[in-house]
Amino acid sequence: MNSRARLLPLAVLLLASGLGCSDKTTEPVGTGTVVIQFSHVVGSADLQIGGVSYVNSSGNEYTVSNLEYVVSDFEFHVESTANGEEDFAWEGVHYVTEDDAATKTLTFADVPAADYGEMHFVFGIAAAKNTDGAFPELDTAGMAWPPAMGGGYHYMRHEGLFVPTGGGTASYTTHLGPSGGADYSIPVTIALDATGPGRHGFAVAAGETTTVVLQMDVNQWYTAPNDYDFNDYGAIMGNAAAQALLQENGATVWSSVDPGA
Amino acid sequence: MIVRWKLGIVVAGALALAGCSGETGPSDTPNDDGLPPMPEFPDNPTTPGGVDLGRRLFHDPVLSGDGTQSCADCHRQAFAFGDPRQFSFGIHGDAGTRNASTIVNPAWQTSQFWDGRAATLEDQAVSPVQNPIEMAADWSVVVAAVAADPDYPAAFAAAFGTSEVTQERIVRAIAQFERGFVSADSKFDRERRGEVAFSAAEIRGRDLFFSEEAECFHCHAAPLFTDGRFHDIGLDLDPPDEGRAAATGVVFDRGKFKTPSLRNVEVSAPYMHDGRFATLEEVLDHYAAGIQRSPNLDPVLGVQLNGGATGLGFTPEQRADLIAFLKALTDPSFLQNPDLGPPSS
Ligand code: HEC
Ligand code: HEC
Ligand SMILES: [Cu+2]
Repeated sequence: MNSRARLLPLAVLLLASGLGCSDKTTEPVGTGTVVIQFSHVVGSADLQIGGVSYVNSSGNEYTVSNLEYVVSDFEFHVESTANGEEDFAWEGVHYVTEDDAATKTLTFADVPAADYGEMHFVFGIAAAKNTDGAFPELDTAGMAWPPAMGGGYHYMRHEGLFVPTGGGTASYTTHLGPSGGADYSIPVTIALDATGPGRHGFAVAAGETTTVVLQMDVNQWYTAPNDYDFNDYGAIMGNAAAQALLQENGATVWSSVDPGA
Repeated sequence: MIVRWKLGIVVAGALALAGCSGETGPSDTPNDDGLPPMPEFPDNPTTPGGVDLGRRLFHDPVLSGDGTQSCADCHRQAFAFGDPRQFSFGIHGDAGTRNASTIVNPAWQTSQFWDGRAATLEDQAVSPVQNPIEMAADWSVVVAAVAADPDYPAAFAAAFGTSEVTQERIVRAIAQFERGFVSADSKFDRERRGEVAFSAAEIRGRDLFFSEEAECFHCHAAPLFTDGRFHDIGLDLDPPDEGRAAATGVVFDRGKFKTPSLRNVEVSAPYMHDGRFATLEEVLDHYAAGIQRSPNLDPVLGVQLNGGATGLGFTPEQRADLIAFLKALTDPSFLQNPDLGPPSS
């Protein structure tokens, strides 16, 4: 996969520089702050917990009672290296839960001032570091994925109710993770400016804060490119076909919006 | 407009790969004792003097209106700091409607009480003293009684630098003491450290506990055996106790309660927020075939009812295995830790 290939030289760079977090001997000439804001919508409306019904491409009416997930390995790629600008990379893991606003921002305090043309991150955790006990905060949040089912951590727990064929009430639990030990994490590439003509970038200026809104359209998980009919799936942690189908859908749930719009 | 397209002047040669913002990182490996690193409490750092003082206060009936009831009367160490009575009786003999919570690894908990209405142990400790059906006291009277004690002022000086007695200092000392309620030496922990082996039943029980078939791990998440979140597990179709909704006012929180830790659950009967189940067998009867599709039933359990089932349908062997595993969460060194009992003098 394209963004996977891009990770390789980066990994080499990281090793060569003794990893991003070590004490810096030279201070960057200028850095700014990037705040990533996670926003959850269905279509054009903010996601509501409980109550409000949504409809997916299979015609299932559903509500959402829980949405929590993990994102990791953010990279900002510079538009040009003409003046020595270099990519920004962060190798951490960040947990987001709809019911705790504090988790819905991720702040990078030392982003080198540059024009960035592309953003990448991993939805979930790549297999190499998705190991049991590696992230205690995810254990206490109830995100562990049992060792017998592949080990490591869930990528997402998305849960709620739907109206099954024949009426009444049923529940869905879209739990994504390293089912059977396979890697279903989702490399995401973001077009940062969805509106500007031909622009995909954002600029970081020294001493200033840039906010980037990352928006998940929850309904996309169940709509495109694959239909996902809740009637056909129950608990899916051990269901490789469901994991693969949702992995494909997951590549298109994200977009970036202008926070000022 | 916060994003400034093309605004910044590029600083050439700036160091790449900078910028770690203190987020979760793989370096935060769990402590040797098998629990995550203990959170820090910069507003109330633990000191030996504070813990000693908190220990005395926790076991001292001076905190109640008539000097007859201590925290420890309802939170008894041998019962994982829970109460074997379904409902605890306050100083006037009034019973509440909830079973006294256990207090196990509270330092890691992000809220207190079954409905999470207190954010911290300090906030929590304010409440029982003045609750009319618990200790039924007036804080100003309690502060005066503690200050009049011949020994306490010196203990406050040792804990906080001066002998002044205040409500804030009392709850801080109690919270420091409670944060020492660390349970991480059960058979489960020793097995993970390779010190003992599980029986065949314990292994089967563990594998079932951590499976999608039984779902337990989704909420009773290891190693704390709680996710600190609130769930409706379908005890009642129409929950008589508002639960979490009483704290949040959100209708979708009705009937949800904080997941209790299962560490030492063998000794913490009766079970559930209202102590309705006397035994672990009764608890498993509920999960096996007694789950109601209440409006806010947690989807993790609800998904198992989609085909019309009333529960997880455990066989008798599976129940026995699960109970064998739950009993492996008993930690005698915690239940008998002399440092957590009443002070000797
Ligand atoms: C009369 C019995 C009684 C007394 C005395 C009492 N408690 Fe409790 N305690 C309870 C009950 C019942 C609950 C659960 C109430 C609820 O959730 O609404 C509880 C809950 C708690 C919790 C929450 C634990 C958790 O995991 O959510 C803590 C901590 C606690 N009590 C500490 C104390 C302290 C400290 C004192 C003394 C200052 C004290 N209690 C006195 C009965 C009592
Ligand atoms: C959806 C989350 C969830 C799942 C799944 C779950 N539990 Fe619970 N459990 C809870 C909550 C919440 C309570 C407290 C409910 C109440 O009091 O209303 C509880 C209570 C208990 C208690 C009583 C503890 C006490 O101190 O009162 C036991 C024992 C228990 N669960 C065992 C299990 C077992 C075994 C499984 C798997 C078969 C399981 N639970 C599955 C959330 C869950
Ligand atoms: Cu799961």
